Amino acid sequence: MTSHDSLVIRRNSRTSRIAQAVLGLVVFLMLVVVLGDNKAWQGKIIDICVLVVLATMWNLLTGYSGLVSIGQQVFVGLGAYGLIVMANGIGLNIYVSIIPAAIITSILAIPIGFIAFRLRGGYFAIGTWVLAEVVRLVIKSIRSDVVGAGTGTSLKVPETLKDGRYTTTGVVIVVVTVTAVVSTYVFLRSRFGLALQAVRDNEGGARSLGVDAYRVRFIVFIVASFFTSLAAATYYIKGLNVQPDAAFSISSWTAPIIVMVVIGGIGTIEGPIIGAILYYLVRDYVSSHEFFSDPAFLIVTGVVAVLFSMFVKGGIWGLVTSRFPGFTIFPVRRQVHLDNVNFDQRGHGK
Amino acid sequence: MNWINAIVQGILVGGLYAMYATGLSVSFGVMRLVNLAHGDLAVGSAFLASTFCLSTGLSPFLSVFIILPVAALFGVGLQFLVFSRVVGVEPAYQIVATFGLSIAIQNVLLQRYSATPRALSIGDFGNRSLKIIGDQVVVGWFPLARFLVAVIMLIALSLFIGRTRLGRAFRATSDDPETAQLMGINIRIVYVIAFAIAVTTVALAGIFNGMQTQFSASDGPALLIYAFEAVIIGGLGSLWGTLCGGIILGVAQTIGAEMDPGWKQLVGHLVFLAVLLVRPTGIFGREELK
Amino acid sequence: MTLLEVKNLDAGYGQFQALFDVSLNLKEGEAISVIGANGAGKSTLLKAIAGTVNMNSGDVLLNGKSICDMQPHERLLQGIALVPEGRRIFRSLTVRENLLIGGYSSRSGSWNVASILEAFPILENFIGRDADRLSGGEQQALAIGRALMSNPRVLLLDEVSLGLAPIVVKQLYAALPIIRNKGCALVIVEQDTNQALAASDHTYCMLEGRISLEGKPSELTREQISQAYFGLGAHA
Repeated sequence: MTSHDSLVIRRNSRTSRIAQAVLGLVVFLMLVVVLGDNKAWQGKIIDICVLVVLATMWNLLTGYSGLVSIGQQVFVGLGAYGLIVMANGIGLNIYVSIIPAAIITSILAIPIGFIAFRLRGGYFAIGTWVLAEVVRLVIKSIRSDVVGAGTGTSLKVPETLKDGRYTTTGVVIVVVTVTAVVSTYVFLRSRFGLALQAVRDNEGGARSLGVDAYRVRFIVFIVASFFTSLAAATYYIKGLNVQPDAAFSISSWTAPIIVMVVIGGIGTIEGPIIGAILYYLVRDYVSSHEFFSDPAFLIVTGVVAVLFSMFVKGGIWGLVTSRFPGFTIFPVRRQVHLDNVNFDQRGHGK
Repeated sequence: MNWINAIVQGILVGGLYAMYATGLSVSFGVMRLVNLAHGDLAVGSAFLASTFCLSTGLSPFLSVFIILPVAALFGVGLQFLVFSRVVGVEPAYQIVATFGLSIAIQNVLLQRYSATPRALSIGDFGNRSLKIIGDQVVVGWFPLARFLVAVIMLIALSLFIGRTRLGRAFRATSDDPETAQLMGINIRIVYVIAFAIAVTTVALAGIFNGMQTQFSASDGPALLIYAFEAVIIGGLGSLWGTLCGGIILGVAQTIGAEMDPGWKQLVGHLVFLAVLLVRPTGIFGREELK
Repeated sequence: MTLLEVKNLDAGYGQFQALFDVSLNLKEGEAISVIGANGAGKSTLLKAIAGTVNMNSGDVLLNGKSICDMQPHERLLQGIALVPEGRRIFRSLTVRENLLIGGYSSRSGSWNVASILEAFPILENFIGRDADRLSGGEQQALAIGRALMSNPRVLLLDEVSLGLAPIVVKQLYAALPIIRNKGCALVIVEQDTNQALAASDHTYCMLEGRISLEGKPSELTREQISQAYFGLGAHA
């Protein structure tokens, strides 16, 4: 080594900065579409953004915390009903309502999490599902006009807000999505995120270093519930119609989300985003061209999920990073740089 | 309200739930596998039995002898081809794989059989009943037979695991797979057999369920939940605990239904949650929830 | 007659290499010891022979035949039995069942439940009990007995003295000659050198994954051994 060589620890590489700029451009374009007046495309952007948030949150739980939940639909439903209660019941502005809806959901996530966390692994997964079912059944049996019991209800939109609804909702969801993704990124880069991944990779080891595994995971669970319900509430401002069986449906919400994240790549920030966009586009294309019946599409979806979990564990993004090691849009890991030399995993300089 | 009758019916249905739960218990105990498609395998077996009975005109009781071996073979295939590739450190892949399988099976059934419910016809046997306490407590012959089958199955499994060489290998593998290998046990074979047993028992449960109740393609998840709740209530690592768990769940549900028809599942869930909160290892649990 | 031969073995855990070019030799009826400090690679060596740790290069031969492609359960069938570090008793089995599971492979020979209880009389009292209720020394006796049930030709003993009182260790080592007389060769891995050296015909000392010294215990000086054990002296 010559004297002017020095070791630098960096997170961002030039490629990731370029990728981030591209992503910023994409967000800008989305806003342009959303501020336009093509309702179909506005709707698509809204749907995709909602899925990106949900997928990112599910991935935060599964890929980064090691908590495989198949009960996330409970937060979708609670977000939806929170919106109804705030907007229809209390009379808040429909857009403002999403915040208290998400906050209430996060509060309810505490007892839900407390119960679920008594279980581990596969049993935790089913437990989250049971809890979602319990909430669904309870809401179905509430005899209140606001909630509408089994038949559901619709969001009441005041005349003044009817015109630009898709536009405003679109802007809101883009903001929510960017917030959710950036928060996740910042979170994972922080000390807290490091603790989280340490717990995921080696719980015993992390514990012995003083990390409170339970608390760390619990906080992530609450955060995920917040953003999931926030996005869900926004979705129902567009969709308007809230029915318990649909809002709490595992096959409408959780199943596609799981598949998206698996295809995109569990355990990376980029994976869920890619998976969500890809899944949505494919499903949109397939259903509009009537290639498959609904069940047939779901069969393919299920099989793809199985195959990916067997053979392509890192998802599409995993394939990309194995082809281009070190390439990341959201660099969470630190890399050791020797001036302009970059070491790959095996310690070979290039 | 006829509480005693509700309890009796609940006990009998509990036997069925215990049958569902057994497979989940065995595959988790031996290989730490939670198969989210468990319930769908039961439904699939019922549909296969139905197809068999409709085309041959034979009784559903006979179909058991054909469908069960088919189910066992299917289980062997699944374990070899799919599940052996998703065991390991990260439970996420296992859960995702079994979840994907569940979606695939449900929709295959939906595609092939449509959403119309059907039932396996057992003729008059399904209607005959036994009066226990006058007209107040009436027990159908079929539910009684079904309960007996569940108990016999549990006894057989219990003897197998407790008294045979292979059963001992199961227990050793469940305790410590690496050391089990050092004893000369081929744990891959153990896993395959364990899973085949799981699929066979759940197929039996599915067929017996279909004999009195209507079933449809999307019933799987509900059955999975019942099986799971029975296992948790009764306690991990104990077959007889599973029977008790099933009975407690069955009774909770029938009592709930007595109070209000819409409350059947909810009361079951609430009892499950109560056990989970107060005694997470279950009533007869031996193991920790790892 | 060479029974077990390890040739230039490199082995480890994933990217972490624990053994570097390790070679050793075990003859019929012989007892060899492998000593070394914590982390020297002794346990890894036994596990590589038994098949639970991957070999990167080199070979392991039993009676001249390579076994490096065999799974652990296949190696047991060939006659290699490991008494693992930490005993690893099956907790939900009784003492008798632990012995019976050791005999799962039904290899023929003179070891059975009765003869094992003769060699380790302490187990007699607990035969029907759950194995996890035994003390450390009793569990170790059970672990050795369990391994013997497969009538092995080579018995690998991984740190049997760990965590046990000296008097208990003495009792366990007293059984080793009986085992040798019935035709089983031994590989004894220990951190505690005294018992191991006394019980073996040939010894290998390991340091940081390599063999640092070998020879007959009677011919090696205390100084040589501690240098090889701790890596002091000529080694940098």
